[in-house]
Amino acid sequence: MAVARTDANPSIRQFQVPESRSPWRRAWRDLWRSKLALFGFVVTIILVFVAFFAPILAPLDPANINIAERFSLPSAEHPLGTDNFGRDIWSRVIYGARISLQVGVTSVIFALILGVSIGAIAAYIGGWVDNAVMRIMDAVLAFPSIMLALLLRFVLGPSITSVMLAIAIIRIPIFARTIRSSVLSEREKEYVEAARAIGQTHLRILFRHILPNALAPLIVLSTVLFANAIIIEASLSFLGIGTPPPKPSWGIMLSDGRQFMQDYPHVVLFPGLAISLSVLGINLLGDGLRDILDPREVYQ
Amino acid sequence: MIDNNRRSFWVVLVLTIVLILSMACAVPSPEVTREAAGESADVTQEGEEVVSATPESQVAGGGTFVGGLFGTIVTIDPHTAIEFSDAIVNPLIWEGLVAMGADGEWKGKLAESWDVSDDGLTWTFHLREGVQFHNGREMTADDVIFSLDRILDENTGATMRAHFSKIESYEALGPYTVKLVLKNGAGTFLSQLGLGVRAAVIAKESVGPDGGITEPVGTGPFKFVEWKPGDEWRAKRFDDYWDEVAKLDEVVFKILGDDTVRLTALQTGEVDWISRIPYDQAVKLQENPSDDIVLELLYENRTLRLNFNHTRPPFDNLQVRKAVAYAVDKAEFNEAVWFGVGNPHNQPFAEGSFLHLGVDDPYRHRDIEQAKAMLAEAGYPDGFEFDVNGHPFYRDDWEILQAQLAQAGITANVEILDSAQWAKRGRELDWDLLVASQSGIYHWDRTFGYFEQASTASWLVGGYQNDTVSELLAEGRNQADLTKAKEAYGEILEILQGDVASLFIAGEPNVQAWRSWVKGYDPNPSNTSLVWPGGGLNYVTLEGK
Repeated sequence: MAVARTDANPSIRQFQVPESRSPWRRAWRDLWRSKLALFGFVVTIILVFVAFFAPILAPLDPANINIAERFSLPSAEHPLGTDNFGRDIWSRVIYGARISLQVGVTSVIFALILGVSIGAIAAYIGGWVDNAVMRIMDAVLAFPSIMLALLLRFVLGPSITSVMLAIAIIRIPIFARTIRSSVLSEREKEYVEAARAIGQTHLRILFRHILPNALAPLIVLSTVLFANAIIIEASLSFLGIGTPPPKPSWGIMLSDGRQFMQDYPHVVLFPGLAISLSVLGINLLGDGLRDILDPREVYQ
Repeated sequence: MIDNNRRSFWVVLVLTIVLILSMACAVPSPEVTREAAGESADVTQEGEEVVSATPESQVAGGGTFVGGLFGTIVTIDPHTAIEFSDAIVNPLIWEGLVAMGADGEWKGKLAESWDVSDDGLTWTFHLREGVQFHNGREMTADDVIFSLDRILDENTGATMRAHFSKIESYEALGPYTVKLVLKNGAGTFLSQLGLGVRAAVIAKESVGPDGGITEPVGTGPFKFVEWKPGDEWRAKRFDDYWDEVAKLDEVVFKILGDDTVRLTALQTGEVDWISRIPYDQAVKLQENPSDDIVLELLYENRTLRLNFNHTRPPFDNLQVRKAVAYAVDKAEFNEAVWFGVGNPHNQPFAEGSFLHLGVDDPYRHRDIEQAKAMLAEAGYPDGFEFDVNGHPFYRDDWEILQAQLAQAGITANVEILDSAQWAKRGRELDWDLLVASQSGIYHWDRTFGYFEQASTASWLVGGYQNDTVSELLAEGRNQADLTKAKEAYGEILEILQGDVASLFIAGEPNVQAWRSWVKGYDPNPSNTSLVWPGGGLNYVTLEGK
């Protein structure tokens, strides 16, 4: 068997000669070329940066109530003004990024791990297992996602963890479906057959050989669903059952400010902008990644 | 290529036209569903009467008065109605034996006078003679008996049934005399008889074969015309009313649930009167008064309070409760949540009302040092943490309380539950602090009656029990002389305050606004309805509308 491997290697190397740079390097270069994707990338980086350094960047405690200064317009002291309780909107928007990021990352990672495991195993085993699992996933998908999130949030109880769990659960089937179709097409390829022939275990074949080849769509999907998780968190908070007070979620800021919107538009303008900008940025990054990671692009 | 473009242009054009047409067709559909909803309700609508809305006799200052309500009308059956909007419209049509006057005292309505025996248990009501129902028949003692029968009938589901179970017997002594004998509870009896029109005297012609109200026949100043659930409610003047006959030809109430929509409707003159204006808007209107709009903040008996769970730590400890009472800044709370329009207080009974008890508030001003000292005394020098089951209604309230308690070192982890979960955990006493409000208070017992474990609402005040309070409660309930009862309730408030049984924070005003062409309207703070003894819509005229 060792002989077979050394025999195979030179031919592969020969085939890859024109493509000297690694695929990740190429992706990086493509990112710099696409203006929109770069914009998305920068926005995402800023979001992560802001969330990470919130205590340093925020001038005031986001929960600090000061009724005497309610509804102040943007000024040097309060760059984005204050809300109905006189809290600094700038600090609240910055801390809000933390919640959005936390909810987005956690729920996507959770959904990714569970969804990929379920979908990949179902596809690899095939037959009735595949059928049963995927019908369950279809059933979950059939619900409008926000409805299901609402329902799950009520079942799981009121906390930020249950919000993240609820968002993760409604996203599992999407990951499962995506990985399933990739695994189905990869499963029949020669290299898998080869791996099987040399006696590798099913799990090793699945996670060591097939999965890395099905990674690109998952990365794209993760970014898109990450943006989506931010929106769902904001929606749940807007409906009053998302992040509990006094954590300054963007959705809560919108729903609290809504009744004063006519007289003090800045109360909802900035959290609204924060949501749209970060969702737009992450989506653009996702779109860019899809173009960049699309294997067909290589030959063009 | 050009061909392709041209084709796609036509496709887009046709699609656009189809879209516009389908939108145009879709517009009338809400009206259709509304009509259908109206028909399915258990109210017969006399469509023809609506069309011939022209008044029979022209009165100066008459016309159509249009009100904007924030909540839907749920029923026109006075005996089962509990919703806010029901309480506003029902008294236009229905009347009870007694009603609360603007001064907070009980006035005779269909009863001209009443006698109470010395033991307070036998009540004889002398009915007003010559009172006509809307169908022209005279109201007599038989109708009072019929109405009491209906309220006490389990199948009716009347809201006052449980309260009236203390009536031992009732009978007509003549066409205009009714005698009631009570088992106990003489002190609160009038307040139960006069709570809105929940004990209205109705004509038996109103009731259909299934026991529900099919054709409202009451004695009020307005005759029912029609009700489209979720949309509007109409009544017209009753010319043979026994008291002040209305000048308005017709009264219409529209359901305008959205605060902004309702206020805009008033500002454009689409409606003449609205209630419940967001407080920030009310303050703005007060600061920039308009010639077209009159705004009034009515301080009825109402409270928002912080209740403690007395059955488990940490709030079963008096020092901890005192710490909370010192830490809460009632004035700041009022400013933050209600834009300063509320009245910080120590009792739900508004100043100026007969029910107001002259007891000082030891927690009027915040004292954070005292709060910390109390906590140290209780064994929590560094404060403590606890979980709050918040009701979605009170999210703003909790954000402020959370911040205020935090300054004393008490960390409240607020979780917002939905109403059903909130009520479930509430009843199981699975909470530490609870914010709740109370309104519709016509007697002290409505508030203080909760403060003994025998009460069904004992869970709302955390299972508080104090034997002296229970004795005084019994005394107050059985005292038909309200001036004497007031002393007992003053003592109760002193004890409750000493125990910090509950922390009464502040009362919200009932904000009403109306166009300045509405003349003769002087709202009554003790009565949420629009008709009361000596005032109301039957005294109103529209001038220059």
